[in-house]
Amino acid sequence: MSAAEVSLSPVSVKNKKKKKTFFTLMLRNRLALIGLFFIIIWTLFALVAPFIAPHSPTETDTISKLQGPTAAHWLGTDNYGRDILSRILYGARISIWTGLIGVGISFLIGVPLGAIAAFYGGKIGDFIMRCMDVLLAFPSLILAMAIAASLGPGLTSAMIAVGIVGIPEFARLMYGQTITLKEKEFVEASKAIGVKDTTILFRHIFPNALGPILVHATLSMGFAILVASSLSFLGLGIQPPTPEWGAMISEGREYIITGQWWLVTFPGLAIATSILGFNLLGDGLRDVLDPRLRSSK
Amino acid sequence: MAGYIMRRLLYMIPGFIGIILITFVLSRVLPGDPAVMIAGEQAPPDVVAKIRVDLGLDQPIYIQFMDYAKKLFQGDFGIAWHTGHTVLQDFASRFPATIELTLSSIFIAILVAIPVGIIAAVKKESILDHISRIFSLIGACVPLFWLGLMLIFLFYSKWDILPAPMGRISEGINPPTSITGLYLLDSLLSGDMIAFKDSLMHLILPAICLSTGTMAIIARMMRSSMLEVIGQDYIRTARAKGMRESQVIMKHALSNAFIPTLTLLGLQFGFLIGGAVITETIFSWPGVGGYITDSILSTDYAPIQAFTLISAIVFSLVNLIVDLLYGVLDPRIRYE
Repeated sequence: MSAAEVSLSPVSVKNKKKKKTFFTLMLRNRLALIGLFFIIIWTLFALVAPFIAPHSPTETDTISKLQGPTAAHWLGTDNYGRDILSRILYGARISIWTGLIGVGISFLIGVPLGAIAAFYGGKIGDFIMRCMDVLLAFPSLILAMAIAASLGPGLTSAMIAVGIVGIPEFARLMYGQTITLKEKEFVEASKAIGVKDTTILFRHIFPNALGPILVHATLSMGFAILVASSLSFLGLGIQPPTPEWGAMISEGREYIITGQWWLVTFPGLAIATSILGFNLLGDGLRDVLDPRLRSSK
Repeated sequence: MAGYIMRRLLYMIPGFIGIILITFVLSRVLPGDPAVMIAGEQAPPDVVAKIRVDLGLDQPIYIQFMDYAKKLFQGDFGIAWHTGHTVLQDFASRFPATIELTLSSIFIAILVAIPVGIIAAVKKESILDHISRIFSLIGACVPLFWLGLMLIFLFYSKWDILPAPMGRISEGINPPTSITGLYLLDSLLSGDMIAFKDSLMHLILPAICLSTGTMAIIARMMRSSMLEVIGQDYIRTARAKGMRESQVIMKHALSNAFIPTLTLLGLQFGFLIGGAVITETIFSWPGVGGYITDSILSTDYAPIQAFTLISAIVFSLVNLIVDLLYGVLDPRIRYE
């Protein structure tokens, strides 16, 4: 067996009791379960939208425009007569997809940067972390707006904007985790037997830092959905007629004054419940993974 | 203390250079050619070429950056072609409206969140605690633009108890004599109660809308830091000495529990700047935020770039002020 294959990390030691405790605690956390429920519901809606949506999300019908909730259109119709329920169901695909890609970009760039900065330290580490500090100096939404405005409106721009805004927080979190972990005996032992740096980082440090990063990724999903829908609302994200929750609210904005509340209310509830889902699950995961928080609750 | 502030300001310089660099890079990744955007799609090539020379876009990138930084230090943020004024002029005329809105929302957030957080912690697991926790949870999830529109629907369209979301003051009423630019303050100072009442009615909804997210987060933080503090030995000692509970909470617990809340308040400033853009857009509030949305819709990049830059610098300075306030709240914290 080569040195690189020797696994000294505590993660590789299977601990069934620990896993059981994790699931038991998660099942006991009612708020986390509510969060998980919302996430499952919206993910299911996103997956099966073409099969369950009663109408096409882009099909216009001027005769039935601006109708309130009826038997034919459960959540009413918009100013082009499009079915709001169908648009919300299809909108779930875009919102969750934007959130996933956005958080994915933050994760894939932020985590390695934080790990490298902490593991190698010195000038490289200082340079990386100062760059992250500069990015953190920008208010999140403003930076996302500036990036999306530079790239031009659209789904890709929104995803990139959401992704870049999240990089520094992932990097800082991973930096903190790596700084602590690199002093642990199992890392020193791996170094002593000649395991390569990349192997130590990816096979030993990364799995042990995964808990807090997973919590942050879950919480970031809610934030990503919020930022992406805010960009669409401002005209910088997904463009009409694509069904997206923020863009739907923006389109229905002028009708709120004349009392047509359904154009704005239902997409807003969709955004709020999806964010609530990720926030509750993230909080629940944090409570379960951090015993100090568990006891002080 | 002065030495500490100077040192912190010096440490900020590399950060500010980084901020300028990022805004410069963002302006150079624009999908279209700025010269074509200014001249128009149909403009002849020689006109576009002249604009390119005028803007310095024919120069090497490092010279463009030096030129950009030099102009910034001279207060030249460029021209907003959708208004025809310099960005600085536009900012100056709209800034008081944004300040009035932001200060009011911070005021509302603190006024509600701090007592709610304290009561929730002191009466842990009571109905009030549960209500405050649910409010904190929901307040942090509701999108600002949706909340604003729902408030307009309820308070204007349905119940008609507040004026239309159109600016800072009704059309038939004269704005107060400008002293600070803040309508509420100016109308009070000039004794114009009609303008005061009308501007207050216009301010209520946008201020509540902008404050809700901050309120929820502060109430949550205040509750958790208060819970941590009231479990400490010195609080038990104060109680054992026979001190009244209100005194224990207000005199001993609050000042210590307020430090993490203050940090959060500084960080929330960033959220408020972003939130102001959305709130002003919804309520047609004539501030910098609404102007930025107009710039976005007109693809006028100079104001967005300037706003991004100024927001980042102000955000950094607010967090420095927050750091300095720690020493006021906790005399044990010394700046060396």
